[in-house]
Amino acid sequence: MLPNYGFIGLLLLAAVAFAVAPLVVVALVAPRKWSVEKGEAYECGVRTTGETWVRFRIQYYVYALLFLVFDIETIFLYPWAVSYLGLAEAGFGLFVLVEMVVFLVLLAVALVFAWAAGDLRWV
Amino acid sequence: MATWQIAVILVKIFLIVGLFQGAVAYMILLERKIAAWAQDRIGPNRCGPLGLLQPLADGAKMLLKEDVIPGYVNKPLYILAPAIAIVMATIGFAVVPFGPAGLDAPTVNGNPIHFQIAPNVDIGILYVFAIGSLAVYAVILGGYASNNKYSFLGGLRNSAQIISYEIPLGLSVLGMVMLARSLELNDVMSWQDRNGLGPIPAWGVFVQPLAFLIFLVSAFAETNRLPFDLAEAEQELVGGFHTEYSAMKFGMFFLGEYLHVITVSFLTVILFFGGWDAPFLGVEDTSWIAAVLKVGVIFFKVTLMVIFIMWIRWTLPRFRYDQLMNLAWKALIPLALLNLVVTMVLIQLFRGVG
Amino acid sequence: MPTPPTTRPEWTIPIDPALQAELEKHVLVTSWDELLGVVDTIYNWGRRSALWPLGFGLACCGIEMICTASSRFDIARFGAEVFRGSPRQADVMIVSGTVTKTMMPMIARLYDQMPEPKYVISMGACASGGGPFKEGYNVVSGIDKFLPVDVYVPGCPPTPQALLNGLIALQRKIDGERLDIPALGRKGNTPWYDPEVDRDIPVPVFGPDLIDVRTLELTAERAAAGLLDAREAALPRPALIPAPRPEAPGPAPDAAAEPSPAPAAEQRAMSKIELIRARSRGEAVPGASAPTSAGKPAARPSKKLKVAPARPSLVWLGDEGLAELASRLDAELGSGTATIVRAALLVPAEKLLDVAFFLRDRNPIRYDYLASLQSVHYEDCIEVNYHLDSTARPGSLIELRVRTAEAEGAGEVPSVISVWPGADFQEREVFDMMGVRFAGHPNLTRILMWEGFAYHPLRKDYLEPYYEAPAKVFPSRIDDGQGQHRRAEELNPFGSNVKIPRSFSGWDRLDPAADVKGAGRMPEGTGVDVQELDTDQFVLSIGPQHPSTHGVFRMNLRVDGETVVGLKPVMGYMHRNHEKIGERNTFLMNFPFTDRLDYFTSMLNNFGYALAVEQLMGDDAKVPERAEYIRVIMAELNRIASHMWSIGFLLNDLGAFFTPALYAIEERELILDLFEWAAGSRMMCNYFRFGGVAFDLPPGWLDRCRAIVSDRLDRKIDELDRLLSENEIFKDRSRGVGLLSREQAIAYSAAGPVLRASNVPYDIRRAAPYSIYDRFDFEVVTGTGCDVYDRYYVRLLEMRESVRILKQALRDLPEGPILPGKKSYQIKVPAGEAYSRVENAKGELGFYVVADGGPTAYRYHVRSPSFINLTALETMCLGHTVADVVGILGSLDIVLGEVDR
Repeated sequence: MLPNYGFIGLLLLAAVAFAVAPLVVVALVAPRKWSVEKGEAYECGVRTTGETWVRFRIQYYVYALLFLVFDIETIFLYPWAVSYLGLAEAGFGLFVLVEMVVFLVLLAVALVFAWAAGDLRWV
Repeated sequence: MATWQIAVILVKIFLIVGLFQGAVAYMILLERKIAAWAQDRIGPNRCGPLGLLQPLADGAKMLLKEDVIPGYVNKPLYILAPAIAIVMATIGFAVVPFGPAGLDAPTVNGNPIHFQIAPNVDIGILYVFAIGSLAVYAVILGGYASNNKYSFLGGLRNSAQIISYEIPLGLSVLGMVMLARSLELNDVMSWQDRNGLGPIPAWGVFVQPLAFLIFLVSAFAETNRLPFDLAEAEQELVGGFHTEYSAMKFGMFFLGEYLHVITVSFLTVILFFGGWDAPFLGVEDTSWIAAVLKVGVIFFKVTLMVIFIMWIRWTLPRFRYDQLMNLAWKALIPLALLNLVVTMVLIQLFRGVG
Repeated sequence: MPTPPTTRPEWTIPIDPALQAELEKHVLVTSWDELLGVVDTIYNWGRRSALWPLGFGLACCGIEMICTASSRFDIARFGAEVFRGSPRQADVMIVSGTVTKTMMPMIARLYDQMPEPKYVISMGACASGGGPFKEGYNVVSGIDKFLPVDVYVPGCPPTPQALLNGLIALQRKIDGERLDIPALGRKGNTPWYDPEVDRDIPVPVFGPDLIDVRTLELTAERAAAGLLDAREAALPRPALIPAPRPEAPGPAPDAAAEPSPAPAAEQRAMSKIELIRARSRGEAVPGASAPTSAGKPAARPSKKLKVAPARPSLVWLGDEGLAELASRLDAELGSGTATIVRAALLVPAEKLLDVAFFLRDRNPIRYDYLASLQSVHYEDCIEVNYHLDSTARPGSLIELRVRTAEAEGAGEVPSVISVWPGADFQEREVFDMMGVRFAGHPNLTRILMWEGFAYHPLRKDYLEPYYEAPAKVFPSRIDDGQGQHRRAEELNPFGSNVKIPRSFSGWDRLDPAADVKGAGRMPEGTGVDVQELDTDQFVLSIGPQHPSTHGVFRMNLRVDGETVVGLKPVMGYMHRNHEKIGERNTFLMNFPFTDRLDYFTSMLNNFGYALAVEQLMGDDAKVPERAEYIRVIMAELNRIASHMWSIGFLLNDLGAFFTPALYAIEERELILDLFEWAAGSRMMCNYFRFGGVAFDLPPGWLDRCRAIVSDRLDRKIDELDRLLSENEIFKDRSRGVGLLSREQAIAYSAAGPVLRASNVPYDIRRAAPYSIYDRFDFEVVTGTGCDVYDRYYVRLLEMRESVRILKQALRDLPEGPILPGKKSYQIKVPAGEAYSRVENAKGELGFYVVADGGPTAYRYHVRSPSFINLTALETMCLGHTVADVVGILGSLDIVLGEVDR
């Protein structure tokens, strides 16, 4: 098992090399000219007005919370899904099924609640 | 582990990474040719025969272009972002089989040669999704670090988009996972190949049609392709998250995006189109000739998928932000849950005991 | 520069010299320099084959630049179709169109922001040297005044082939580049590798005029020396005429009551060319001309002058109706409220609002639609006049006049925004151009020029920096073999198109970083209340260089998250002084300039201008039947071409990467072929003449036209319909977006498809029929959705109606002459005023012409539909997202040549 992850490590090293190599080449061969205007942020040809890094309205904080719930749910579902068919064939199917349906219904209720409460409305 | 195994792995890594990076360069040419085809044009044809040297010219130019780092950026993050894009897109391939792997792998002296960089990683699908989610950092960091309002908007759009579409993406493959009883991609593939009903193969697209649609839509969103390319949105945000990136750093974002397209095409083909399954190929045949043919089949299918993704780009207009989110939360997620429950019930009805 | 000596090994065996040359060329590396030559070749090859242009089009040339990407020309073959919006990713800047002073700092900044190595293609006459607009006060005489240009592409506009040729020329230039490697002692021509070379272009500054900071001291010195005043004192000035007075009761309209002048009356005794030649030789000119008139307005002769019959427009309320209306106003609002002056109501400024409210709300004919608002500078006053129409009873046009003192700053007129909100931008324009203040206007700032510009340029006493004479041809353009031709730059003491008042003292306050044009138009964050969360908003500038502002238009957005809570349009980046130049042009000379207003619809612009002058000329310019039909055919073909483009690019704005746009351009190209065949030019047709058209249709033209109209256009319109109308994403993106209710649309003076999509069946072709439109059977298409989708759909259906008209016109086209008399270059236009209205593809296009009997128009104003439609933009966009704003702007279908004129 472990060597397989080692392979991923090797691939990671190769990927980093592939990422760094062009940057190095560019640093070696590309010209470099600096000017004040070149350093300015691009905004259609005018100087930018006001701050860019503001307390931006991240409209999806509710989505982010819901995402956490559902993403973790998905993670839970994976091992369950892998073993479900085996359990079903072993005769535990109905029990496991009902259990999971209850779990999903709880989550669906959460989704429906958020929906009904208007939190899925992009404002 | 024997030395030769490591050597094989290194060969595989450099073959695959090199091949895919080269493929990406040519995918950009392909994209331009497909655009030309969709728009009654000719497309690049002055660099070499049929314009085949165009990617080289583009690459050379990008390397020779000044790499501007604007004055007000957050420099470490600004440089890190395109590197993340490349790295994440590359290591996503680790568990993707590009030919017969696992039990179906051909052998040399009794030792199986897997067409997969990291075979037997039993969390396969999960790994791909995990790496895919990490790739969003490239866009978010790039957009944030640029200190440019267009980039900023692009980056933030992307983060919301990716987290929303990850859920239907994850839920949609569960059906196939349940059937194949494994998270390993080659197991899913060989399950499809082995369980055909007569002449009809048990491809995911037939077994789980709804899941396939959900997966396809979510995959488009995850790769930032039109109609979901809101992070770039040329007509609104000029270039979106990469507005301030020039030369090779800009090229790296593109490389990353196209590598994602390849990954997603592989996933779609493996999960829903039977991978290397073809009517004329015996599943059990582990000879080298069959292996090479299987590699050919899977690459053929992937190419078709890639062309399909490109075709869509030149055909449809773009969603608006709220519509994008509505589609994920109000359509895809409920549908994916429904699909899951139906699948479970059907499995219980047909295969359950007691 | 000296090339380093190449050391070459000696040949030891005798060899054929030709073979030796071949060997040296292809096989043997005979020196380091040649080895590096291989590197040069690779280096150059990479860059020449991947020239990515910066995606911005300035004006007419920009359209041809886009056409270069279309299927017929396909710039993609050269690998150069990758138009990048951001300068960071671009290699070549194609300066396509007139470079204005208002735009120049942005172009310089964009150039600076491009990474090295970078190139500039100057596309078209304007970018190369100012072109036809060179004499304008807001036009830079060529981009090379600021940027280093690599390739000039001639033409006005250059055809796409010409641009491709320019691109190939640039590739050749790149092929010839040698790497500069100081370490090896190799000299080359790649200055971007030379740390000593400064490639930065300092951004010019908005002062009283556009100031190049590289020549700041010199400019200041010359301004202080007052050289310009001295020059202007020696020039003949345009004559001022008095404003028309109420007609004396009794004798019918008579020239005596009309003290109309002819500034060049005696000059016409001599031929114009002779006169100019004489003047350019410094000879005395007979009569009261050059020497005496220098420095003060030319004396007006008392000679009787032909006067055109008084009527505001061809279709209007009529004399009796107007008299009745005047007496009603007097009865309701006190006597002296309305006096009839040359078929228009003269209203005292203090009663204007009362009259306006009465006309809109209480008059039997409700004048709810402000068609046009403009001003004229007379000798004794500045007159603001208003053309009003009623959507309930179209065609009852009337004109109001309000007069204000002539002196700068003293003039004030009440703003009519509270009655007709559509007056907003038009009043700002009058303020900008004439200096008339509008009391009660919420944001009376300059709209086309920038705050701080020293003059009000449309006043008659303002002379442009390159001013030479009141009418063309300018003496400096005449060279009768004496070698006396002089460039305009040589005449101006600043050596460029600059005029700075002697009194200007703020030299140290000039700031290149200041956003002079946009600063006064930053939206307040109050428009829409989003929700309770305490977040910051930010201000985002979309434009002037942006992929989907359809030119150099700019919107300052205030966004909260992605929601637009404030929006202010900023324009003037394409202001190329059409009206001022139009007052220098002789009447005939102005035709090609009207082509360049809305550069998609040159035929329709010609139409409007021809109608205005023909109205003054009366029976002298009676259009023969055949010419009327040809005019309608050309106009409707042009409408289809324009709508095609507009639909394609609306989809583009909604994110469909150019595919629908390029499909639409294919059809447009076929129509442009017809134009080129008949008129000689694809885009700038210059085809109409007073009383007819310039040329008869060439043999074979009609067959081709019939084939396209009956066999192809219908089919292609259906194809677009099938492709787009039921597309789910398109419907989602456009339904219910950019709502403009019926009442709002009328109040904002919206016109064309924008007005009709809001369910107002108001089409000038039916409302105030001109030419022979009353003979054709066609529907006025309306929509009820009031949104982006309906604006799209109305355009699509209008194309069908145009095809219908075309079929009828092609069927009925008679034989006959195309002009009432001989072709004439000397047009005699009687004194008077006229306002013509045509239904341009964008809406009501109006030309307001005041003639004084001289060779040029005394006042020439264009009521441009794109410009006035923009008034409603803010209302339509608030509360929508950034993405919608782009789509809404696309649905208005603006053309910057016409918005900024």
